[in-house]
This record gives sequence, C-alpha cells and structure tokens, in this order.
Amino acid sequence: MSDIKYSPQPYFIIDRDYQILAFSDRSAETFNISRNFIELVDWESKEKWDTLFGKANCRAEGELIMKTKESPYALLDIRINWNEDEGHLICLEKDHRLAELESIVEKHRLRLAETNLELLEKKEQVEKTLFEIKNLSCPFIKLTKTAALVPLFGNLDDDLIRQNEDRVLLKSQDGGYEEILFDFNGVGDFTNEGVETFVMLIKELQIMGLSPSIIGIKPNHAFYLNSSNSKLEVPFLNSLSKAFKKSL
Amino acid sequence: MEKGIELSQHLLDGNQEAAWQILDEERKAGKNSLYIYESLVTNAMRHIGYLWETNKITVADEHLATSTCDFLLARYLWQKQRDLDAPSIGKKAMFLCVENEQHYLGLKMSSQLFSEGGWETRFHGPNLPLEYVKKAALDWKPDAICISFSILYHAEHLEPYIKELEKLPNRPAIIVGGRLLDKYEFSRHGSERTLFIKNLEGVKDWLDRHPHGVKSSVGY
Repeated sequence: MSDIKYSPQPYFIIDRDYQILAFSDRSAETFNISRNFIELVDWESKEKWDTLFGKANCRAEGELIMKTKESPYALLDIRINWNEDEGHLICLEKDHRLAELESIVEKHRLRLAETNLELLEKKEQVEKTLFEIKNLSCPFIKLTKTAALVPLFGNLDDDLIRQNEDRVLLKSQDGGYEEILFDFNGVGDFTNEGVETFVMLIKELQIMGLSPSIIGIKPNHAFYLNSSNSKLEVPFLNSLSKAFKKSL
Repeated sequence: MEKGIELSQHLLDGNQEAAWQILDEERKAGKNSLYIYESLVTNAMRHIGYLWETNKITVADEHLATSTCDFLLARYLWQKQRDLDAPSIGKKAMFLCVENEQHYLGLKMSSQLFSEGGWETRFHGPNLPLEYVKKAALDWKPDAICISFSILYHAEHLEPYIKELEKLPNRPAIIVGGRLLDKYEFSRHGSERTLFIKNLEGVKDWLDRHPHGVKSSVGY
C-alpha cells in the first residue's frame, strides 16, 4: 500500500476477479471505493472492460465511463498492466480535457441552428465557381513547336498558381517546349504569397531545362517582384509581339 | 448496414460533402425520411458507438462525428422541405434533452419528422434545465413537448419534467423518447397521459395517427 499511496493519479492493484487489493490516496479522492473494481465502471462500459482490460497478462489502454464522486458518468483514460495475477491500473480523468472540444461542438451546433442553408449553398456554389474561374485564368497555349504562352488573368494570388502549377509543369514537359511565356497583361493585383509561389514555379521550369519569360509587367507588379525574397532570373519583355518575334 | 458503415467513416473524418453524397443518393433514389434516419444515420451512429466499445476511436472522435451529422441532418431537412413544400397544419412542438443529457441526434431526427409533417417546431437541443423549458413552453404554448434522454442515469430527471410540463395550462402532449426505451420500461416516470415512444418508426406512426384536423399530404 505504501508504495502506491502517493501516486499522483488514481492507482489500483486488482486481482483476477477484479477485487481491489490496494489503491492510492488519489483513488479515494476520485472514487467511492468499493470491494470490486467493476462496481466503479458504468454498466454500459462493462463489456468494454471485460474485452479490453479484463484479460490477464496483457497491457491495454483506452477510454471507459466510470462512476466518480463528481459524476456517475465520467470519462476516464484507463491504462492497465497485468503482472501474473495482479493488475496494475491507472485512471486518468478526461472530462475537463474534453470540455474545450465540447464547447466548440456546442458553438458549431448553435451556429448551425442560425445558419440560413440557402445562403450556405449559394456560398458553396460561388466557391466552386471561383475555383473554376481560377482554372480558366491560366490557359496554356501552344505558339510554336518550341514556345508556349501562358496568359494569366485576375489577381496573382497563391490559389491561382497552386491550382494551375501541376498542369503548367506537365504540359511544358510533355509538349517538348523550350520557352514558356507568362503574360501579365491581364493581371490585376499581386499578393506576397502569390509572388512567392509564382517564383517557385519559374524555378521548377528552369530546373526542368526550360526558359521562362515574363511579358507585360506593370510598375505595381515590379514593386512586388523586387521585394520578393527570391529574385527571378528571367527575361522581362514589354509586349507579346516582341516575345513572339524573339521566339520565332 | 453497409451504407451506414460507409457513412460513419465520413462522419468520423468530418467529411460533410462525402456524407451528404450518400444521403442525397438515397434521397434521389426515392428512399423516405424514416429509412434515411433509421437505416443510414442511426446505423452509422450505432456503428460509431461500436467503434468506441472496441477501442478503435475516442470520445473526441465521436464529438466530431456528431457535429458533422448535425450539419448533415440540417441539410437533409432543408432539401426535403424544398422538395415537399409541406403545408403547415397549425400545430407546434418543442424538442429538448433533459438536464446534462448531451445526445441529441435522435431528438433532432424526431423533430425533423414533425417538421416534414407540417408541424412548426422549436429544437432546443441538449441539456435544457426544467425552469427554462417551462418558461419557453409558457410563452410559446406548444401542442407537444418531446423529451429525450440516452443515459440511464438521466432517467431520474424524467419525473419532474413530465410532472411540471403536464401541468401547463394548454395541456401539451408530453412525448418521451430515447434509445433506452427499446430495452427498458420507463412508464413509471410518467402519468397516464404521457407518451413513451421507442423509436423513429413510433414517431412516424404517432404523427400519422395524430388528429391534427388537416389531412396531411406529406409522404415520408
């Protein structure tokens, strides 16, 4: 008894019939101790106890509903280690740790009760449409046997590049191109994340042995490109016709 | 049951869209609400209970599944009401779980069966103290008050709830439900007037038989 008396968690030693042989002070603080450990287990958890923890000569851990002094229906984490005819058991209270999760779930429930599902459906439709628009905002156009044009439309953000980079890389590789011309004439605003992702795409193309060029950069674009963490080492051309002549 | 198991996995993953696809396919195939609630949703949640029993998941996982299922049921009702456009029958019902009771999905499905039957419903959800119920019922004057519990220990709350609510001036019907009613007898907690309904099929039967004065054209 003295060895486990000061265990910082509820601790029990039980025999093969689940009779309690010894317990810690914390056990007595947490439970109304009875002779048999099974009496502390909620009736609907007894089957789980039998199958998971009741087998002798094994280690097991899992959740169990138990009767504590605070609640007749408390959730605990149980760890057991059987050594010959004695089971060493530690019970960790879990309810307070789940309280935060439960409060989040409750907030979701209340939020759902107030949600206008018609508006939610419209929002989902808009998001789907936006995804499709971004897919269409980065077409890959074959110009010559060795050059392709990728005009970008809309704002240059992370989503625009991430949604399209795989397709651009795959087509660049499969088409046997040498030059990829990115046209920025249709681009509005930049975001820092968008620029970083675009720079990564350019570098990947360069690693693949291709020569990317950038056309139609406006002064506000240049500001973002210059302040980017990694510099672009590509030709900047001011019009598509120049790029086209160069390519031919 | 297989579809129920498939649904349970999506609920545990918190994958609302995949879960909705399963429900929506059944709805489009002409399955009625009782089938959707009993054979799909209830079976999925029972399977989740089984996974906890067998130590495959934790209570935290169950919370996520419940939250996802809540959304799924709301979306299903919204879709169903849009399809049905059920006329109001001029009756009101409120729904609540007794104090400390957190399991509310069965109650929610019952309330949705009432809504589909043209009842005006107010869903108060889990853990509603008696004082609050009384005040809400006095103000709103429902024709029926549906009370749910799932934990045996919470059955002790039934008697005061039933006693107090049956005393309300407009004499609402008090209906008690919950998964344990299928296993045990709880009528001693109520009066001769109290209705104890074992499952959703019982709810639908009661709705079909209930004299609401307007012939319902609703097909579940």
